[in-house]
Amino acid sequence: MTDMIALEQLTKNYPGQARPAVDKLDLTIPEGEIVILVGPSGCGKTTTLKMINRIIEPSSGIIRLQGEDVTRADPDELRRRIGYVIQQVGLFPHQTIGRNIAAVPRLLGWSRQRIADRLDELLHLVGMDPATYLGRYPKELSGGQRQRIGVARALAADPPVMLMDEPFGALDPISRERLQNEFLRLQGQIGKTIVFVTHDIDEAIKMGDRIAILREGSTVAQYDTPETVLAAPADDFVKEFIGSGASLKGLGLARVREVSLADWPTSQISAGREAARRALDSSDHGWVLLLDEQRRPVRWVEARALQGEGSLDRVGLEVRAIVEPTATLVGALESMLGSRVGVVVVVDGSGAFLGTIDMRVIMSAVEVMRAAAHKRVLDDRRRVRAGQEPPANAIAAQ
Amino acid sequence: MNFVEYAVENYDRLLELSLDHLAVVLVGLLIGGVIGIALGITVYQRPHLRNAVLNVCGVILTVPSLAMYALLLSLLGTIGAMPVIVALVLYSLLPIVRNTVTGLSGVDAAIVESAKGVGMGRWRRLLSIEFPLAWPVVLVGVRVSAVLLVGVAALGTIIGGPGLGELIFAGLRVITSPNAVNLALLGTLGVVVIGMLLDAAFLLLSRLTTSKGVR
Amino acid sequence: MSDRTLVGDVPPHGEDEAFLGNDDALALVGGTDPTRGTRQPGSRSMSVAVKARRYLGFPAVLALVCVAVGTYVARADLDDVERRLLTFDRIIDATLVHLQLVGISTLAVIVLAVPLGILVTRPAATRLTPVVVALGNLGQTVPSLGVIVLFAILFAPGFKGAVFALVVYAFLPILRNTIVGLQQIDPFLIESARGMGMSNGTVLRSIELPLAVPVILAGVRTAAVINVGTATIGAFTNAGGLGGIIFGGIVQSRTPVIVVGSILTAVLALLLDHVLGVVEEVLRPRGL
Repeated sequence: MTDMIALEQLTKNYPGQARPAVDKLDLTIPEGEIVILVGPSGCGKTTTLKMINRIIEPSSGIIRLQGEDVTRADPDELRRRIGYVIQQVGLFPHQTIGRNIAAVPRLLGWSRQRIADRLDELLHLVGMDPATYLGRYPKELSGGQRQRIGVARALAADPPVMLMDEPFGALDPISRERLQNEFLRLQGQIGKTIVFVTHDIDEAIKMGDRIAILREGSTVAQYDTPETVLAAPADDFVKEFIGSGASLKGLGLARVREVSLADWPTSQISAGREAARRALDSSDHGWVLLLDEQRRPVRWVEARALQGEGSLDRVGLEVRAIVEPTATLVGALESMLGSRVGVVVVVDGSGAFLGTIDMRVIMSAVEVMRAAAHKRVLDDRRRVRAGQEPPANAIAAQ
Repeated sequence: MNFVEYAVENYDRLLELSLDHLAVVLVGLLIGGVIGIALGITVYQRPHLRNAVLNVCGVILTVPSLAMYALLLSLLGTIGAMPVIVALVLYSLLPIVRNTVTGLSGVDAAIVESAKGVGMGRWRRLLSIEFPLAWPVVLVGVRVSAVLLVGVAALGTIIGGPGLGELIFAGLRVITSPNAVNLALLGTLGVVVIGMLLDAAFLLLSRLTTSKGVR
Repeated sequence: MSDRTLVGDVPPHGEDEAFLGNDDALALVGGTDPTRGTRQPGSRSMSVAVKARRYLGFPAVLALVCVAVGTYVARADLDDVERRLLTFDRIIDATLVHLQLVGISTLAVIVLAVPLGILVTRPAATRLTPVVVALGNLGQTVPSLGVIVLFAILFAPGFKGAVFALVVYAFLPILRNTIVGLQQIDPFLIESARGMGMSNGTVLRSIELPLAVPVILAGVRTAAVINVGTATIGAFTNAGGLGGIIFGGIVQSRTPVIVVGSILTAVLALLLDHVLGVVEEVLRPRGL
């Protein structure tokens, strides 16, 4: 496969800023693929994108389009060969939808008939009825419809390359998912070379044939397929970034009963000090959990407090952090943070000890959830690309 | 003779002077509009130049009209419509330049970027995107200037300019005669009516020339 | 544009100004505004030097112009007529009369129009407000020449008639700016003040008026500068003032006289505009 776009040592310095926004970036974009530039805000991903069509002029370096050095080419000519979609859409409010989409064909001097035919074709392509929408004005459309028109405008003159800067970022989650799916299907038909900027790792995994994870200065931390990025993150930065999805949200949904509980040394109060000491010695924990006759947790005791003789009724700390299996992991986490021992005790309906939850349990639960979430996004993407029905909440456009 | 009778009797003269008045104003406004819009376009992206131009236009507008007319009379060495029109052009500048600048600066940056993104060059972007979007604001500036000029033009009579000021001065000359009030009132109301008509005309023009998409 | 649109020349938050919409006064106010354009939020903490340059720079230029004019009058080869029209006493006298015309009329308008503006914006009178604003718009089309001449004919030519004419002419800008200044205050602000138990009077005194001050002052400034211009026309009705010098020059066809009179009038208008601009900035409530 040939490279559609090649960036060589591309650099952008802003006056008054010590570090370059984009620092000697080398990146090649293969023909017909969606390449996602993703990274934390301020990493230079948008600057990189906007240098490709020279909305932002590079300070140094070379941009090649289909092998041709376009770094010094006429920027207006260049932009007519590159579709451009931005988050704010940027439709011309004083022009009709038809006129908006026809912007580039008109600049290229197409005949009226050819433009009219193309408009029809494009509106069908983005799933909107030409008779209804061509004469409307942007303000008469919904946000999702506007962005469809934005995409249609970018595609108007059939450019080989499209640049998309957070194109679905301003939409509500449902419209966003719908447009993502539609766009992937569309790409299945048109096979453009697409550079797509987002800060949302889930969107990157879903939309990208390849993901470039960027850190500050637009330095490439990893450039690979979504599967590889997920399976083998190049370094801690990547690992952290792909884990930055909505973990806390997941913790609010997952229940205690869904995780495997950690074991903990326990001893019955009635069994006496010696039994408790033995239980503690046989584990590597610093505390032993004392249970009553019904196996209900009563007190936390340290080794120091077990020395000497006498009843165990009053030694150690009262057990306060107790949850039932129906609690959410967020609830468990909160109790844990309030506990001196750093552990939350899980009991059944009758109050009997089931196990404990500590930080490691939470972390492994998060890992599982992340993996599941990424798998879901990957499945979703596979399904959409295979042309199957999208998931339930992404019904075709109204 | 009451005012209405007087107005009817002098209808021909009133009409003639009104048309003269309107003509002077429209010529001044047209020239001022072209210069003002061109200035606005030239300076709106250059902050220092913009402030300088706006300040100069502001100073011009602050100069009392009698002083302006008298200065132009000395400077140009001629009386009649010409110095009056020059004064009107000068006075029209601030509202037009300022609104052109404000209108153009107010265009959404995302729209301008889109226009760049589809490959529109500097001038095409200005002509087909930025200026049409700024147009309603520009037109308000022109309208404000129009109303302003109608009043200022009345004083133009002092340096031989045509228009309704003649009636007002005529009233002043015959201050003791019973017709003095009629003359001055006729001139004053004539100016008011022309001002209101121009105001309405520009409102209408604004509605007719503003795209449905941005109304 | 809504009624909230700023009147006159200075918008409430110091943003880019424009003549927007129906309700904008025809502000004959110009470009010497020290508050215009570059004012930053932190401008109150400007250094003394910056302040001095902003406040005194323009008057210094005007003073230079006056010195130049004075030098010219002293040295130029003037004929008898010119010398008679341009004596030092005449110029000083004309300037003082001019200042009296503007000062008396503007003060009178403030005393009359600001209370009226407060009255018509009280809840009981809200139906009156649009009528007054509409009248204000209509007033913009009335030529100052007509007002001066009509007052001279109907009442008396001379100083008094001119003062009355100026009062009438400057009334609407100040009234309108008072109304708009009071109306543009966020109603939630007033509601929350009332919610804290402030009486109507207290709300007016401690919330509404301070917040309306910048807009009202913009109206005063507009009116005062318009009055400097309109007062020159008083020359035609024997009211005196700097217009008399210009008029004399025109009648006698003496260019030096015309030029001196015109420049002095312009300097007076620009200076007043600048001074009131500084007053506006100084009196603007902190935080606005």
